[in-house]
Amino acid sequence: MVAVLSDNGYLLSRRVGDEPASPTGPPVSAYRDMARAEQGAFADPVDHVRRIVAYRHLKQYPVAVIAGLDEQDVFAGWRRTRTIYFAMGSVVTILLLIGTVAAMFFMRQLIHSRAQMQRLSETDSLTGLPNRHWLTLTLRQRLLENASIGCLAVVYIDLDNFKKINDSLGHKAGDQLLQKVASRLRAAVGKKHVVARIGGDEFVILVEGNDAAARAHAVACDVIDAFELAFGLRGNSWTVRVSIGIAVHTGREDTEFDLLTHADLAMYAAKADSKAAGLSRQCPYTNELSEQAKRETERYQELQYALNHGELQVAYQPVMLLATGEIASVEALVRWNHPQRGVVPATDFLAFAESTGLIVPIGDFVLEQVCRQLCEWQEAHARTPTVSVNVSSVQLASEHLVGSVRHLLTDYMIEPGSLQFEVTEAAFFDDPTLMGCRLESLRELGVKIVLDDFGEGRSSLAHLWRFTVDGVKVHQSLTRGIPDDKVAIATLRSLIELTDALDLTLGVKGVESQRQADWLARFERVQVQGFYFSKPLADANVAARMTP
Amino acid sequence: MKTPASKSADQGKGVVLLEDGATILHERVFLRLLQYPSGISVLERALEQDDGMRLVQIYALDGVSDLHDFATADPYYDALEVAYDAVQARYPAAVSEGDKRAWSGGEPGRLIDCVGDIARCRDQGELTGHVRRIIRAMGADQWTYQSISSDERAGAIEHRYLIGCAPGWIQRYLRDKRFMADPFVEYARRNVTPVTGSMIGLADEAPRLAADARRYGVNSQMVVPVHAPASEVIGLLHVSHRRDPEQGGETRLWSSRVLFGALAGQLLGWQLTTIRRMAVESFELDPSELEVLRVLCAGGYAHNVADMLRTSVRRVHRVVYPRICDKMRVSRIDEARKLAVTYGLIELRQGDGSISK
Repeated sequence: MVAVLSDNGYLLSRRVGDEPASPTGPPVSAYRDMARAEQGAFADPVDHVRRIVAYRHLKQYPVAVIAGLDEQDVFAGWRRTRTIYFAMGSVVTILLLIGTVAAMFFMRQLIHSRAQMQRLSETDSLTGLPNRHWLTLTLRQRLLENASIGCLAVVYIDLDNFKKINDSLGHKAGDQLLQKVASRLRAAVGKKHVVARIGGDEFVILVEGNDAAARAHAVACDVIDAFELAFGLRGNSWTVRVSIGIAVHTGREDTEFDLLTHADLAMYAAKADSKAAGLSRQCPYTNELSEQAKRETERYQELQYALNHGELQVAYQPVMLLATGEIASVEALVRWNHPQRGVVPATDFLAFAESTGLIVPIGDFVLEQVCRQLCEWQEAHARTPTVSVNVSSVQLASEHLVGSVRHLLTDYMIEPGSLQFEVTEAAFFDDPTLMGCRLESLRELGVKIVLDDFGEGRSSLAHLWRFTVDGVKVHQSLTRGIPDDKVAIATLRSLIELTDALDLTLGVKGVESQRQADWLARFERVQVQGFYFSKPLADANVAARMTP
Repeated sequence: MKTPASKSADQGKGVVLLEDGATILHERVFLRLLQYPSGISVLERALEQDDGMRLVQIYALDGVSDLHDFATADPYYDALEVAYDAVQARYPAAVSEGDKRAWSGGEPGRLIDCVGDIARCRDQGELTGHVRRIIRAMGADQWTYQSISSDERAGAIEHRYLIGCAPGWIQRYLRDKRFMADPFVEYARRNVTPVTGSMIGLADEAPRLAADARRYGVNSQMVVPVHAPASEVIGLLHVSHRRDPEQGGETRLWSSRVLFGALAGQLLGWQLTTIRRMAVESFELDPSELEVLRVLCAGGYAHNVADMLRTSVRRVHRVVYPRICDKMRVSRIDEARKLAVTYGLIELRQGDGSISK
């Protein structure tokens, strides 16, 4: 806008943009403020548009000029920029707010998920109890506090007959039983102590407080009491026995694993006791248990070494036929040629081998040795005696035995009838059906079966007909009574008559004197074995006594 | 077979949250989860046999573990697994819906007053909770209240058990049908005085039953029989203690026999009132019809009824009697009278709040 004002107070001309000049307008007094200020932002008195104006009076002329720019036009760019920046700022702020809220939400979710994962990782999903991971972490934390010495104990609980229930009712019922056990344990110990499930049927109670040993003993008693009541499952009542081991934190050097191992050892000691008594038992840990475990481990390794390094050897004790004086058969007996202790008889290590499962590889070794020997004898001699091999219940329970015997018979090309297995009655106690099937399979291969140590323990005549056998070997406790003990003699006479009637062979073990041999000589079919006739011999010595 | 839960509930009636069942050979088993206005959930398990025998177990649930215990002890768990799962899924919701004030009561103060309070229990859930507390205060560990009722018309016998013992024990008891040769049940049929296991010679009479019971901590036992006059319902309150009889378990129970007797009487009374209420609701008899039955039970004849109703004998025979027979689903008025005696309807008085409709 450009306007020209006369000094006498009239607007001479005014022009805005491309509009035509307007000579008329308000009196000059309307522009007084502009004239006075000379410059600034003012509302135009003609069109009332706010403009930034400058005022100049022309000295040579009686007029003044006012030039003004529309404020809207001047600040349009600035306003646009301001709007853009404002919009951008708003968007950024909103995005930031959304981002913050989202971040907070995700953080919360993350924390929640992490807490949930931690809870899951520390909880047993079946019972809802803390699990082994939680227990070890907690124990580690407690053990770091020196104050826990004597004030922290672990009560280790194992269910004795859980496997039987699991096998009888199925895994679902087994799981339900475990849930009930957990619930009962929680009820038995209350809120004072924590119960954790650390394995299939193994639970641990963490006992804390002064005199933890006494507290742990009391807790164990409560648990045993609680398990006196039966569990109802599928309409049946199941009484679950527990074996409890207690270990108290006593040494500064103990780790959480030491404590659990100690409690575990004590639990096994209690289990050995409870198995015999058929009752729930508890046992506190003592150093003796660790030493015993250490000894057993060393013994195990020693025996394994002996097996792998040829320290085990097989000797053969002849079984004589009294009527002819010939060797009827030989019994293979394993011996341990110990580098320090000399010859260790089988009775000193076979029970241990049986309890640890080493009896299976030892049995396989003996069987292979015997088959190899039989093969050699068959090649060298026209007539070879039958060789008896003792088979333990653990071996017999193994499903590989029959296949292994079949392979050996084929590999060494030996007559199946020249191999004889001696089985004790104890093998039938656990699972008579399985053992019966196994013996039947062996007999189908042509191998003979002899019932060993008959007359001792829970001898049952039913075994003679229930499990088809080829012969019987009388336990040496009966032989010792010959010829003076009337009961022993009467029993032997009856057995001889019975085996004659059933067409079974009868072997008498432990013949050690002339008197015993003389008394037995009257029975032609009886086979005798003992130190009186021969000690166990090396294979070469047996071969020397055979017919070429 | 699953039915949706009905949401309406009358006073004393539970809302059936879930109903399911299974048929196993000749037996039908039904499970019902009920929620009562008192806030207590009750699991009802009914086993029906072809010979008309019906065994009903009523177990007030005090937590998920109770339900788990009951379910896993069930001999028909495998067949009812889906039903139990459905009950378990519905149960936590039931707990949150109901208020649990009924459980939070303290130990009973004066026991005899508490026994008297049984009449005020609105439903069997509240009843079980109340009885549980009273019996604990009286010194017993476990209990069951068994009622035996028979319906000669239908040839049906119902054994109903309110359970306050280990679920495993009652499931085993019922699975083996131990009630058929239970000396306590035999005794209760003919006697009304309390008796202990030693007094009845339980160990000699039923050694297997006694041995099974001992496995669940039921070492000392006492039974309080109750009979309802003019009704064939027999009630047995069976209480037990974990201590052996030689260690004073029975002595402890015996010392509270009077209170246990009162409790058993109250339980039977509560049960009969419930049966009566249900019968009235089922038969839809109005007060005048009940009065007619009362006159008949008192030895009255049609003219006595006519006098009472101020009508003619002919109308009594042609209108009043047939209407009653129709409602009670019998053919003769004498049968209706017997039924009224059986259900205790004749003890009701006009204007009795508990039965008036």
